Amino acid sequence: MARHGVQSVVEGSGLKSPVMELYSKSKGAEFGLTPEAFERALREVAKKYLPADCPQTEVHEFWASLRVEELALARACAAGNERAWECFLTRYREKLYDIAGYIARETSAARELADTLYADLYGTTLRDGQRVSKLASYTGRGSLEGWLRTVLAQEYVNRYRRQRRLVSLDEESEEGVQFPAATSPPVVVVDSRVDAAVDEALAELPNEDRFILASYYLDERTLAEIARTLHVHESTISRKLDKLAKALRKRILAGLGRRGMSRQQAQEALEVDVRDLRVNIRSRLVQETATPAFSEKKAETPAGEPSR
Amino acid sequence: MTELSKIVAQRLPTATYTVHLDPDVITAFVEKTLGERERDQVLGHLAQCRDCREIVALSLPRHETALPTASVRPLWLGWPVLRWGALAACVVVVGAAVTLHREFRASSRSGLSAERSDSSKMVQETAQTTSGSEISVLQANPAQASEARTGLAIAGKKVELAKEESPKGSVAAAKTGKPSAFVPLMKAPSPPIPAQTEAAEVGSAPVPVTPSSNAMDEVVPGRSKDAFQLSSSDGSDAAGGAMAGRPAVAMAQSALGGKKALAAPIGLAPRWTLSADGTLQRSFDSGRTWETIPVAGQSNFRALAADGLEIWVGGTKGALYHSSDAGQNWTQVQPAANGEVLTDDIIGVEFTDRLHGTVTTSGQQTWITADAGQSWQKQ
Repeated sequence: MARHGVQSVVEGSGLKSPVMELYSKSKGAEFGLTPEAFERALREVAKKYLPADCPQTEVHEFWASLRVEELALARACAAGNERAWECFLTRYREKLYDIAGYIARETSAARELADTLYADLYGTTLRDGQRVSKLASYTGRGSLEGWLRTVLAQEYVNRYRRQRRLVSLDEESEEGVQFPAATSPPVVVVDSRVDAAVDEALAELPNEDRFILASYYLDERTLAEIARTLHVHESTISRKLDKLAKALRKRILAGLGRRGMSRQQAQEALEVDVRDLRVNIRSRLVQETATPAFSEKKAETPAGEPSR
Repeated sequence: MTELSKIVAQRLPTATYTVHLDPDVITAFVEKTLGERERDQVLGHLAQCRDCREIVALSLPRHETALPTASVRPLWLGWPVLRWGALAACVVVVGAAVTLHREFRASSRSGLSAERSDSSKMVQETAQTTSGSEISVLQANPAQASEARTGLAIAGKKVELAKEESPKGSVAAAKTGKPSAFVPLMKAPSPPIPAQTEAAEVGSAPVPVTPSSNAMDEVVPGRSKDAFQLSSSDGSDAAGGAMAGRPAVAMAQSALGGKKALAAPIGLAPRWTLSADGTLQRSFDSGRTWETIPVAGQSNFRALAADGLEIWVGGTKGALYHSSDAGQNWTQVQPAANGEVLTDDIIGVEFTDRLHGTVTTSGQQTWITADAGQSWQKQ
């Protein structure tokens, strides 16, 4: 049966020498990684991220953009090569614990987080008699250190999400979650044109602008944090938010005008205090704005919770 | 900043995703290695997925600093800079005016007193300047009055400047009770002021850094001083004198490639690591911050072993370096035995204590030392 897409392209003679070039660049031979295993890894990565009908040149460019040396190291570690593990430990062991310490902010939680990931990386679980290492999923698109950081962050987020359901009643009563305020806010019917105009204006925004708005207003991130994420200066984010707010206001007013409101009515509608508005049940359920960000909470393992 | 309507903030779209971003994609996004199209797709997901935003925030490297933005307007055109610049310009103008005014007054008064005094009378005064040179006051006879006036005018300016710089000069002038108008002349021929000259000499001549002096600090008993030469301690000929197990050790030349690492805090043992590209890195704060340590211009290290202030690093083509002061100074070590020198890529370094160590290479060689690298045996 003919094979299509990336696989057949890879096995074409035109790509053999680029693969070998990358193999020698990766120094995979030092870790016992064969050229065939390396090529298999490259094909997996290309299949994961590129469309099936991707031209050869694009595939080659994509492979050239990968961190092949770290990819070879990760795959050799996943295969159980001792030398690869020594190299990995020398380079990343200290950093793994340091990153965990930074994410978890508490020594015991950090150590547990790092130990859990270390076990996953080494491959303590077996599948069909074969050791399964998390390092086999590393694709080389970013640095291995950055990948370790992301995986630790994901593990921490997942762990916190699980533990949040097991928060003790005492803690809930302290935070006021279990015993909310007795008085409920007054309910006022909202003009649906406002919601529609706001939704329309937000939908027209580029993804980056919506990301900035969500980070600033929903996550309450600082300008500096958002700037770091987008690799720009803090003042750039500040100016952008200013511009966004003004542009949004203009668009919403224009949208309300198109929906039959006068200028004055539209301005008054925007300036109405949100506490008087009927709560949007659907958005409240998904936003979870009542609870603090889980990064601010300590990741404590409740008694009896089995560790992974 | 304009306050965004609370309604808009509440309407920002959010979604609960069951499938989140791949860690590799998040890493590539954080490290800015995604293509534009893919980056935009990621931002679209992040705009709606709070969990992934949180992961991205946690995944940011700690020491990443925001890129400076290109200013629309050059900073030197900013009002604060212009304001202080204008003030500085005013000070310069006022200072120049005062100086010229004093000079004019001094020269005119000197000229008057030279005319008033008896032509045969000579007055000599000395005053000390900070440099210690003697300055004499001459009152020329009428025949030389005009010449003296010119000379006085020039000298006056020099001495005024010296007076301004040195409080001693002004004190001396005050003690003599003479008004500053009695402008002292430098003794001719006016020698350069010794202190200033000394200062200039000290300042201009940088202290030479002699590699040999550094090398002497690095001498380890029994090691050869000459690079890449086999030698024995009794000084016998290199070719015939090599014995089994004797080292071929290159001497340190403070092998930091011209750029010294920061001095190690006294007694504090650092943490070490190798970056993905083989650069050696050191941390004194339990890994919170790391600094790159240049070692003889090498950057492709593959293995290290550290214990307290001792550190060994090994890399390609037999590159092996040792420091016993937490990386402040380095010694290159070249294991050799039975006429054979280690030239393979070093992929493993292990030291159980300060003396006993093992080096493994990509060619599956194992080299052992029991005396901190002074001699080696190949297994």
